[in-house]
Amino acid sequence: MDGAYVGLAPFVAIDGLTKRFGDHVALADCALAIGRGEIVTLLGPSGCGKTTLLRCIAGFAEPDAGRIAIDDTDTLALPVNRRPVGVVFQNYALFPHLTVAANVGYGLKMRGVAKAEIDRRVAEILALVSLSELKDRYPIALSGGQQQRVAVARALVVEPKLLLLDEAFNALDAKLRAGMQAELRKLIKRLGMTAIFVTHDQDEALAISDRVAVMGSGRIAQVANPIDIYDRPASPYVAQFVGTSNMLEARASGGVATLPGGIKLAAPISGNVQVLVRPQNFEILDASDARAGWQGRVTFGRPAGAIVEYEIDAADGTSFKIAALRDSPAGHLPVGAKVGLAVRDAGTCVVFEASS
Amino acid sequence: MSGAKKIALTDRIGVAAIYAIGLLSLALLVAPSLIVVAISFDTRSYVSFPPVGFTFDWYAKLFATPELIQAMWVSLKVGLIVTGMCLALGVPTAIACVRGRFKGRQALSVFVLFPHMVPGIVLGIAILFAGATINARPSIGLQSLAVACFILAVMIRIVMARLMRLDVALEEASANLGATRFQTFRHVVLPLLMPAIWAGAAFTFIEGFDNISVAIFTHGHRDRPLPVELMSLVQNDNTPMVAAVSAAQIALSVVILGVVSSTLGLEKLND
Repeated sequence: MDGAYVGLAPFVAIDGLTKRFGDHVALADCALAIGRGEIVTLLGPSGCGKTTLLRCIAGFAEPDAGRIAIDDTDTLALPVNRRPVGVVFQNYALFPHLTVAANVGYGLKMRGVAKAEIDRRVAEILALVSLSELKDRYPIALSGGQQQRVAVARALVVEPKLLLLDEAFNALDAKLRAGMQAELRKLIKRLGMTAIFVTHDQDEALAISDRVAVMGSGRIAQVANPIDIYDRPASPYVAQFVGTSNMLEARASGGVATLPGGIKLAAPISGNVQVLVRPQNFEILDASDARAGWQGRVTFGRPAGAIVEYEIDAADGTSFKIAALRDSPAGHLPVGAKVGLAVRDAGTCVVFEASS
Repeated sequence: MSGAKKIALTDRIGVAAIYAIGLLSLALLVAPSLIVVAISFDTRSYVSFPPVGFTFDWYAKLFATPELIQAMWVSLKVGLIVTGMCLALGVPTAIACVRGRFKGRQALSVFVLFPHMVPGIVLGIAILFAGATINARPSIGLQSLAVACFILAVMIRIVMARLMRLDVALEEASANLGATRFQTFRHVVLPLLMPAIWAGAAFTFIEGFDNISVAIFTHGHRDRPLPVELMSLVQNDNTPMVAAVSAAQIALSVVILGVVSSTLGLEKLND
């Protein structure tokens, strides 16, 4: 499966969305289809258009062209305060002059819901995010994680059809982040909510989403499930943005590309190609080993949990990023060590057309 | 390591210099007012410092002088009218200058400061002459209008400064939660602007109460405001009662600023 949406009519359908700011094209003909109850992440570096796309959906920005439909309703025709969309803002945008309960009840109050009904629904949602005891606090007296849960509760209580989260974990420290990501994913799944996350953090995207849309220069470069994004990137851009990558130059002819060391790869194209090899797909050998495709020297080593990340420079100037298990024989190489390198598994390499 | 706690001599001299400059500035700002207050309790019947005795007589005399009481009422009225005008004009203008999306927004935000840049005397004469062309005679109304024109910029600047620090995301969040533009203004923007609005109101009231440069040309002949009355008092009758009137005015300003800063917090303006 290539990650395209399959199923009935999509719940969220974005088509041909284009937005310019003067000469700058923020969104170029973006299309995205999302199923009911699906969690999709827009992943990309800053300036790639992901936030603009989110703002167009929410109604904070108006696209120059294209359409957005949510549950078969033309969303662009609706004013910002009537869109069936809940937003969790980057820094949560909690109202500093209102208590937790008043923040969460704000949307209901604006819709003219009766006081007793507001109290009941606020209590219900605060219980859901385990914040009942803090309902009379002001946002300034909450931790980052608590503020995030208030922001989520505030967005959910008005029962939107689609939840949008803009860099929702940015303000949290790294340790808290992983836990909150899992919590939030579970909560959204439990409610059957459809959600779009925006992030520049690939780990967050891979951890939280059913599918990831990688964006660059205002375009959607690839939409696929997290594993396919990593294993089968559609372009060198995606390969380099997601995970650590080594891009090796090679030549292909007759449907076969050959890497140093005699590794043969199926190549659908001929001529100059680029081959993606992930860091863990290298074997570190003795420098004299006949299987080695490259000889090089360790220039940097860094333990990262169970693995060690090396930088190894080959004689021809190519720099490799290599990962080895720390408890393997190659787990303790000193800087300056001479080694040989070979590709482990040709099947997990990806061949791209050379860019120039 | 003990070296870490040592502060370099040059740093100490620098800190001492900053303290000295701070104290000197404070003294220069406060000392004249304190001298006035001290003189107002003097027992001698002419203005001189330092005082030689202590009496409340000058305050008693002040409250027994009908022209001064009348002038206080005039100044109070002008202060309130000026505050009202500046609130009605300044708050919407500040919002337009910061959040508006129209051509000339930048120009407007500079233009509104203009009357404050013009010397008060020039503005007073200008409004006197302009008023004459439409038959608006000097009066409490014309004086209030003139002072409001002069001080409006302060209200606008204070509210603008606060608004510029308000995260636009708060307004977007409000809209996203279903609020109309008016609801967003009523429930989010206005409450968060209140400290600035109160501070602006305090400053404009004080200016309305004791402005003289603009008021001297525009006040009504039978409605002399306190500063104008005070000036003729200084010219004609140089007793410590002048100091007593001034001290009363200082007390009023201190009370107003004290109330504003303790209930809403002037420091909140810097959030």
